[in-house]
Amino acid sequence: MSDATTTTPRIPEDLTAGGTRRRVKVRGSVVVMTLYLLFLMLPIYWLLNMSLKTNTEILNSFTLWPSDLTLANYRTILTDPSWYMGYVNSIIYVTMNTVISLAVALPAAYAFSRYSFLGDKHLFFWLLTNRMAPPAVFALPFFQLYSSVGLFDTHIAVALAHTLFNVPLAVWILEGFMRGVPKEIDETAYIDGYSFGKFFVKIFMPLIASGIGVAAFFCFMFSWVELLLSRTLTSVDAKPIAAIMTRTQGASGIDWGVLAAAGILTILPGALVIYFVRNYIAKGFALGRV
Amino acid sequence: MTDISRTEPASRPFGDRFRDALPKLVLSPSVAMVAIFVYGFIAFTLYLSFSDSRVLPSYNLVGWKNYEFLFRIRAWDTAVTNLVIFGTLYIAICCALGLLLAILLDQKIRAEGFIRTVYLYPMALSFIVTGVAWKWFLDPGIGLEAVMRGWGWESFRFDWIKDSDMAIYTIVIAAVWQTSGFVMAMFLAGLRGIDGEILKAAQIDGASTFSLYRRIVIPQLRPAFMSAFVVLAHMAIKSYDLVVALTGGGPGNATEVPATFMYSYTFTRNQMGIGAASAVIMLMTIAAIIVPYLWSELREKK
Repeated sequence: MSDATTTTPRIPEDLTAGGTRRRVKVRGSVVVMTLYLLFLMLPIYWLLNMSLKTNTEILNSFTLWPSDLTLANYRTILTDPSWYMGYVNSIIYVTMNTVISLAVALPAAYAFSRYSFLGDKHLFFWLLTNRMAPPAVFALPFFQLYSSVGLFDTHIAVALAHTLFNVPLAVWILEGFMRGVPKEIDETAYIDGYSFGKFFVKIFMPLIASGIGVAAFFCFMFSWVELLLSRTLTSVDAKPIAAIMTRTQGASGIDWGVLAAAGILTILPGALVIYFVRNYIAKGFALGRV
Repeated sequence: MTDISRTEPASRPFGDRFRDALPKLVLSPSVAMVAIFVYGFIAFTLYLSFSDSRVLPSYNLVGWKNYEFLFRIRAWDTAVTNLVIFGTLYIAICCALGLLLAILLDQKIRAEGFIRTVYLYPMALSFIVTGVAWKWFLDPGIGLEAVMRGWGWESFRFDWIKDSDMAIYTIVIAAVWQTSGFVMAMFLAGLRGIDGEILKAAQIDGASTFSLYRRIVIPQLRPAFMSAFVVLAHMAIKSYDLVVALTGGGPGNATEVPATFMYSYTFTRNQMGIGAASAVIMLMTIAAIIVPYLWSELREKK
């Protein structure tokens, strides 16, 4: 949204009271911001701190940082298949889901942004509302359907189930970005003799690359954090990491350190992705999408 | 939007016709998919909620029996009450905090881009991680309470998470933590859309900063409030992961919410009919919020 920052008007400062009042106001807002920042950091810090401690240290005394730093918890996760397969499973179905969602959403978004046809606005909103339906409604039918066709506990099963929620969202985001590309570009390309497919891939997609990035991010994120469906539709072979984490919690003896390390590792992909698309996300907000 | 095909040269009739049909062609798979899966599945769940299904789906209709039974279950009662408490507080606190942060961030502030990104970070976390992190932070044995006592404040008590009357509020804290940054971004976008001329005019007329916000800025944020409300409300109704990770519905079933209720009745207690009935009620609640919103949105657009 950096472009928006420069152009938009701001709430004017008090013109009469002069500098002191302004300084007080700014200082007050800095305090609030910092407090909120602390509030945001606290649980993550706690988790990181615990993941680097041994279980005895966690239970016996509190220290702001680990007194004997250990990476044993991370080693456990990265060497024990019952842990690291959770990550592998999650990454497999999340990637599948992102690819499928974008492949379906790109042409649909193009149609919405370039053509007007009877009831297009209604259709557009209707697609989006489907996303709001509670996953609980879909858990049962998906479970029955997948069990009967033998897709239960496979990666593609979870990926397809999540597509249902991600396609409308991706269409919505992409349409906003596509609308920003002038239609003359399409027409010029046709006159220059580009076929539709070639135009779309070679010219149009690079123009909306940031939109594709944002849409991919949201597909990725939704699929990565969703639990109800992924937990219902898998049992062993495709079990996602989030489900493994809740299962371990249920056991009587909790391995605090390992669980904390698993949590930290779960944050990493999201943090990486958000870092790469951070500027595009702001742009998405500026468009009123996202 | 004008029809693109009309501006094309008439020498390529096939291309024209193809491009005319194109929108319908590319949209039909998505629409068909949504129609079959969303509405077919909703219909299937609806049907099951009227049947006597237990472990496996059964097709014997029993009328409203599941619903009657559902409303006699104490756990469902708890779940609905919890949802009302949680939803109200969650929406109110998120909106208030989001608005405050957005207003503060809208002043000229250094490092705005950095702060905005940091505020958005929690949204990229899984609710499971949020739940686990908060669970330990709030746990009296190893979290805040233990630290305060370790530092010499022996009488410090903060055991909401173990207290069946207070546990639901810990879920509110964690949920606010996760989404208030997102709400802030929505309000910030709204604030940026307000015409500065109006504000200047009001200020020259002698309006104080407070009344400037109360009379001019906040009323103009109405659309942002509406969308924030809809997004937060449907998230509250769907909340499942956070509760599972933070309290697991406990202590006892003090923090049961409709989604956890549905999962446990359908998949662990083998009462599929009742589970389906609870899912249908969740769907209806969301529909009651979304449909009026959409209706007003579409009417304005025309």
